[in-house]
Parts: sequence; C-alpha cells; structure tokens
Amino acid sequence: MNALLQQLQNRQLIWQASQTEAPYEHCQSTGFSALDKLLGGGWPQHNVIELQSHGACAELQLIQKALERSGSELLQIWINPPATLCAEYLLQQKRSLHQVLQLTAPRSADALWAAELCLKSGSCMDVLLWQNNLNLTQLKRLQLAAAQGQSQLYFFRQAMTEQQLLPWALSLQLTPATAGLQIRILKRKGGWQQQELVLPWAELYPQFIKPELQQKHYSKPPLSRVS
Amino acid sequence: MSARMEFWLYLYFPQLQLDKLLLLQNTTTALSGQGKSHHLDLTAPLAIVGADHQLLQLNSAARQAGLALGMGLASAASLCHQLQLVPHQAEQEQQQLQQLAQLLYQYCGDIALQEDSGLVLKLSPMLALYGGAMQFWQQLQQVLQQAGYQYHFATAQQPLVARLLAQQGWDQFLLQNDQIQQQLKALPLQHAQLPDKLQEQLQRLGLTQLGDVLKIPQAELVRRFGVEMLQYLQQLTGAKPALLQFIQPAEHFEQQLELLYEMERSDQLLGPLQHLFGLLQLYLQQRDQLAYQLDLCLLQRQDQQQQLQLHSAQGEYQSKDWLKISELQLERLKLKKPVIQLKLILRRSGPRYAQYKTLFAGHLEAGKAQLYSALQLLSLLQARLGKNQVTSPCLHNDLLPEQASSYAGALEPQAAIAGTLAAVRPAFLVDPPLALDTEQQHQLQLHYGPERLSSGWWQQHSQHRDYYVGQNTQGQWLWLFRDLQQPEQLYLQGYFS
Repeated sequence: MNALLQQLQNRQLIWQASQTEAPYEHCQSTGFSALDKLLGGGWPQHNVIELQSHGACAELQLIQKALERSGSELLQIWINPPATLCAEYLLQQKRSLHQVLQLTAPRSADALWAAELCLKSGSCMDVLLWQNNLNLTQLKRLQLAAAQGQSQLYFFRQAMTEQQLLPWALSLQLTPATAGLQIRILKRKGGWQQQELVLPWAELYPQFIKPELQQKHYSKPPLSRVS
Repeated sequence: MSARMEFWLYLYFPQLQLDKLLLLQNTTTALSGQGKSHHLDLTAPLAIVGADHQLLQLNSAARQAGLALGMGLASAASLCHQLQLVPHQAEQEQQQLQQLAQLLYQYCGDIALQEDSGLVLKLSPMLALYGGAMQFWQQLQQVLQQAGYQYHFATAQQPLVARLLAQQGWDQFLLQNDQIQQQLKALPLQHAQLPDKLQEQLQRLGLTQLGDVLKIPQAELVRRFGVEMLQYLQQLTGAKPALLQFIQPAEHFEQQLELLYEMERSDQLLGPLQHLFGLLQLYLQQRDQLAYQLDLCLLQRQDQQQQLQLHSAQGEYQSKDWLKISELQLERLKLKKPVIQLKLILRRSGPRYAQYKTLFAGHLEAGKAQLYSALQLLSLLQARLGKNQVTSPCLHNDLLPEQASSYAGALEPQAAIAGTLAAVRPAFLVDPPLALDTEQQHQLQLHYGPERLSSGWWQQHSQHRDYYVGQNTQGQWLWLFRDLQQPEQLYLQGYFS
C-alpha cells in the first residue's frame, strides 16, 4: 500500500493539505469590502485574472477601482473589446484618452501575441483582453509576461457551462441576479473555490441606482411628451 | 621639399567582388541555417572573369587547382573543367568601394576613390588628432578587419608612389621616406604603370627597374620621351600636386543589395536585411540621427516588386531594432515571386535626442528595467497588426454619443474639450443605435432616466432624445433612448459593463 502511495505521489497525483500554496503575494483592494473579504484581500497583482460573464453586467465596474489606482503614466490596452469604446466613459474614469490603446486583432494568435508583448513591455499597467479560447501553454506565457512586466491582464470570456482546468490565479464567474451581481469563484490560487457572493447593484452602479430606489421598478417606461 | 611633409596611405582591395560573395554567404547561412541550396559553391574553384575573358579574381580552391590571375578562359577551362565563372561587375565594386570609403570617413577626413579598386587617404592632417601614426593605423586596421575585405597597403609622400607599392603588396606602414624610395627604386618597370609606349621604349634601352630610370637626369628623359614622361615624373616626385577628388558623405541613404540566389520565403530575407540595416546604422551614427520611416523594396523576377513601409514611432538607429520591426512585417508578407534584390531607402529621419527608458519606473521593482518604451511598443504592435488596427479613443465636441466618441491616431495628445462630463455613460457604444422591436421593449426594465439630450436644433437635423438605463431579461445593463419624434420606439445606444 505504501509503495502504491509513493508511486502515486511521484507522479504528482496526490494533493496534500500541507502543500497548500500561500495566497497571492500582493493583493490590490477591489474597492468593495465584501469582495475583498471573499478574495482574501483583493485582486492578485501581476497576474492573469479571468472574468466569465455574458457581458454588460458590471464586469468592468468590478475592476474599475483597481484600474483607477494604476495611475495614468502607463498605458492601458484594450484588445478586441466587444463594441466601440465610449470616450466619455474613459474620461469619467479619469483616464487620459491618449494613454489608452485599442487593438483590433482578428486572429486570436495575434491578440495573444499583442497581450504578451504589452504585458512584458513594462510600459503598460493593465491589459484587457476579450477572447474565448486559451490553452495551458498560452496562459503560462501570459502569466510569465505579467510577472516580468509587473502588469495585470484581465481576461474576459463568455460564460461556459463546461469548465476547463486551467491554473488561473483567480477565475470568477459573474451572473446577474435581481438583487445584484452574483460572483462565484471558479478557481483561486491557495483558497477554496465554490464560494459565492451577491454584490448589490447599488454598489456597482452608484451613479444611477440609489439604494432606496432599488426596490421600486417601473413596470412601463414613463412616456414623455413631445416638445 | 616643403617643410610640412604630406603622407598618403593607399589601400588596395584586390578582390572586392569575391570577398563580398563570401561575406554575404556567411551572413545568410548564419541566419537561415541552410547553406547548401545556393547556386554558387564558394568552397569549389570559382573565378571572377573580366570582359576580355581574363581571370580577375580567384578563390583559394581555384588557386590550388593551378589557376593564376590574368589567365585566359580557354587555358583556365582546360586546367580545371569544373571552374565556376562569375562575370565581373565593375559598377558593383565601385559601390562597395564607396561604402568602404564611407566607413573610413569616420576616421579620416580626406579620402579619394581610385578607379582600380583603391582608396587614397591623406594621413598628415590626421596624425596630430590621433597622437601618432601607429595609433591611427591600428584604428584603421580594426575597421578594415571588421569590414572583412582583403587589402594591401603602402604609405608614401606621393599618392602615385603609395599606389605602386600597395598594388605590389608591400604592406608596410612607414613614415621614413628613404626606405620608401629604396623600395620604389627596386620596382620592376612593368609594374610602374607607365604608358605602354613609354614602357616599351624604356625596356628596349635595357632598363628593368624604376630606379634605373630615376638615375637618368630628368631633363634628358623629358627631352627624349616628351610630355608624357614629364607628367609621370612629376607625379612620382610630387613636384606637382595630385588631382584628387575627396569624397563627401552621402546626402541620402539608399542602398541596394543583390541576393546570392532567389529567395522564396520572407524569413530568408532577414540575413541580407541585417547587412543593409548595418549600413543604415553607420549612416545614422555618422550624422547623429534617428530613422523614423524606411521603405524596403523587394525586387522580383520580371521587374515586379513589392514594397514595405517600416515605421518606428520612437525613432531607431540600431540595426537590431530595425531588424525586429521588419521581422514582424515580413512574417505577415506573402511573396508573390522569389526576390532577387533588396533596396532600402531612408524616408524620414531626425536628430537624435537622448532616449530614455524609465530606469526607476514607479511600478517596476529595483533591478527590472523597462523592456520597451511606450513608443517602441507602439511600433512593434503596428508592425504586426497593421497601422490602422492600433488606435486611441478620442472625444469630439458633440452631444450625440455616437458622434462624440471616435478613434484617433494612437498615443497622439488630444485637444481638451471644455465642459462638464455627463454622469451616466456606458463603457461600450452601439454604433449606429439599434432599434428594438416591441417584444424586446416589453421585457425591459427601466431603472434610471430620463436624461434629455437636444442637439442639432441650430442645424437642419435636430435630435431630441430621452435616455434611460434599463435591464433586459438576461440581466444586461443597457443604455437606451427614445426619439421624441417617435416616442414608441426605443433604441439601444450602449452597454454598461
């Protein structure tokens, strides 16, 4: 029996509780105290973070505080965003427009190449990438590049039913619910997964949802008179 | 003899074309890793043949086969039947000579090109600068060695004397005139480059060495052999200064390179390109400039050509940086026909300024340097993705969201627009706005609004819109508007993310 165990261990098929990796070395607060608590401090820094969603459900709002804190001396790169960027939105986030680069790369190999180059260049802080496919080697390359350039990659992906086993530092699934955004941890380095949290919409969109108004829904949009 | 003695150095390059072939092969094989597919095998006997069917340059294998310079084609072919022949290209050699002169121009101010593969350098003004003749010579030797061409050299007080001795392969760097004169006197008459008629007449008199001629009083010689002899003697003794045209540094950079063989894959071009970028680097260094834009012409069979534009936003002069940029562009390039010649033209350059990468960048830990600056990064991205695929968002002074946001050139500073920012704007815009059908409209929940935008009333097409924030059944947050002219219709303008 012992020999069998030894053999399994040599092939690295056994996980021991003592091997639990320490959580991230550096964390950056997300700006939402409940989320910080869930993630054990905040976003892992200089790494790749996956955010799975169907889009348009506050996924950028989640990382907005972290992006703001990156400062404006360094570039922010958006690779293959799903629609046209709104310049007024970026200005609201106190970002100077000429420090933002949008890349259009129809081929996914080009997009990954660009992401890797930007991450390791040392002149970018945040890279936002929209893509659906990624394999283990590609992820490792991106993680190394992020560590080398001390930058951060946010990887946006369509929510999938089938989960791939990739060694993300952090992978979150975002699902909109009535009360707020449901955040589920799919993978977290050095922590338990399958934890959930619902972040109220009022916290995510304070500019147009007031907490007291949240319960009140219009059944039909009010018609305005034609002037 | 004047008090200030002039000294000249003559550099003679006996096999420019052959050396060039060898050099090119080395760089090509080093980079593409395949050496055997060439049409020419430089390890087998090979000769450069002149227009009069004489062997002008031979590689070592050909010499071993018993061939000698000046041999006719017929006898050469009978001695060595697998001899490879390459026609002599005087024009190309002249170009190489010009390149060498440009290379040496960094070290010596007065250089003149000679028609028989030689360069004349005026030493005397340079000696003070380098603090001695030997230091200067060592510097030159280093440069010549790097260039990789075979050369012979000699020094003398007259350019003609230096040339005669260098072509004899004397290879002495001396500043003692008596030794030079001694060597000159021992020079056989047939190598003295006298006009043919004169040489024949002198030999008939029984003179074999130049020294024999110099012993005869000059007046006697001139009386007997006429004006030609006088001119020759004046050049030999330096009585009349030599007419030399010194080179000027080139105004434009335009270099072409014949390829050794037809290249069908674009990655094979990197080897020859490296050579061209090396020349560019030299050109830019001499002028203390940076190149921003280059044109690369790939000349192909049947007079076709493909053209590439290489850009660098930051400006580069180093060959390795340009090589990286061109590598990315060549990867994307499909060659229509095999390439036979490369041409590199400098289109835009500017003075060099102190380039810096943030050494102590706030976000990088100590000991980690920035790999690329923002502008370098931009050039690399543009080289691979294309210039139009890399953009920065920009804001126009317009109320309508779809007209306010657009894209501008990457990293270009933009004019600030006065006014307060609207509070509620989504991250992404739908352009043009999407009309929603009645079913979709019924499923929407509106959470915020209206915010009214009235625009264009001072023009023909006025727009009055009420904006709302809504959520659809999938829970997505939408930015919607209703046009007041048709209040039943809702349009989708953007997504909150």
